[in-house]
Amino acid sequence: MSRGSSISTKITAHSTALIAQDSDLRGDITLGPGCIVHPKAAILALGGPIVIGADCVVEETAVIVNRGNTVMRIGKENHFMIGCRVESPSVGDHNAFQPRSRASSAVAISSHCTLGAGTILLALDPTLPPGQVETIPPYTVVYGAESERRIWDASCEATEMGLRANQVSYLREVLPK
Amino acid sequence: MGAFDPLITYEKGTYIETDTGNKVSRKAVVTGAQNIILGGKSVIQTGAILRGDLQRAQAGHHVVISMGRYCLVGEGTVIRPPGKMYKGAFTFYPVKISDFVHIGPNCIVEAAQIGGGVEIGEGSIIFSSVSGSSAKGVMIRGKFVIIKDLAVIRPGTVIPEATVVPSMSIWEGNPGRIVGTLPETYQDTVEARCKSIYQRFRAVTST
Repeated sequence: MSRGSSISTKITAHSTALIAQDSDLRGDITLGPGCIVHPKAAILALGGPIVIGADCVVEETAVIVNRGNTVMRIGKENHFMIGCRVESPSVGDHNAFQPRSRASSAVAISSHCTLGAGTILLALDPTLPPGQVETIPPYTVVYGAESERRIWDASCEATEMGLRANQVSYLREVLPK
Repeated sequence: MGAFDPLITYEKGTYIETDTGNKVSRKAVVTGAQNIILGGKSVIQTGAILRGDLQRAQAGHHVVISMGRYCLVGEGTVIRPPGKMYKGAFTFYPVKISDFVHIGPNCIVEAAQIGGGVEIGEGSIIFSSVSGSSAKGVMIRGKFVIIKDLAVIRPGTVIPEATVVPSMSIWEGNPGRIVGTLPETYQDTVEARCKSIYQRFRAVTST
């Protein structure tokens, strides 16, 4: 990106956050405690700053971009898996962005949402004027080739969260510092 | 696949050639190289990511990614070991890739096992999620994708967790489904093609 060099980079990371050497962080970024950024991940605050909450995982080739002028707030315990691209102005807690899923800048993601592998999340109303965002309700699951939506009944939620917490703590142990 | 197929060339010095004939791009990200075994005559292209550092918790050496002979890992492809909970603790499990496996560009592979002669098309996701619910909201966990010998995964396919891909099948779609079967002569074809790709993958010196 040619614009990259002109952006001054200011990273505020908690002392327990792990950032891989190969990752690409640009602009004003705040990382909460226990965040893990894998190699080749990109967090690009091209417009306003990006604030990421506690225990988020950003995997390889995932891209988080903020092109708007406002702060992009990302809650805690979100999992950005390989190759996903997130431009949403805000992201709640406990969301999973599965491999190569994309969330557009016209949607704000609440909490406990899952974007399935290879799906694209756009606003339902294509005539939404620029600057306005649609908020995705909690527990939404986006799935399949047509990127359809439905609501998760939250079965096995405790196991799911336990698994994720375990994975984060394991990664923290195993990744070379 | 004839004798007159064009060469696949790369700039001399951009690939590292090992004693066993592996060709690994200098621009590939190979983390935890001590945990990765390449069988020989395999090609890892530019921008590929191999995560060998995600290993088991026990002390000592563990093979994380093992790959056979005449394999090809395309540009921008990510190979990482699948992980799950076992006896209350989270661990990663090794990825076993056999001979003559062709993984196209920009794939994401978290399979537990890939059999011989498998072809994975461009942009496919072989996905064994450790977190995230499946489409029905029901969680399937603890089982990883296993691809048996001689399967073809068409470009852009998404294979969900715990899928077993049988031999001689062709898969396509999101979520992936069987769309056809392969002829019995396929093994010879695929082996010849993989050998031919390796032999045509040569260094050139720019003038």
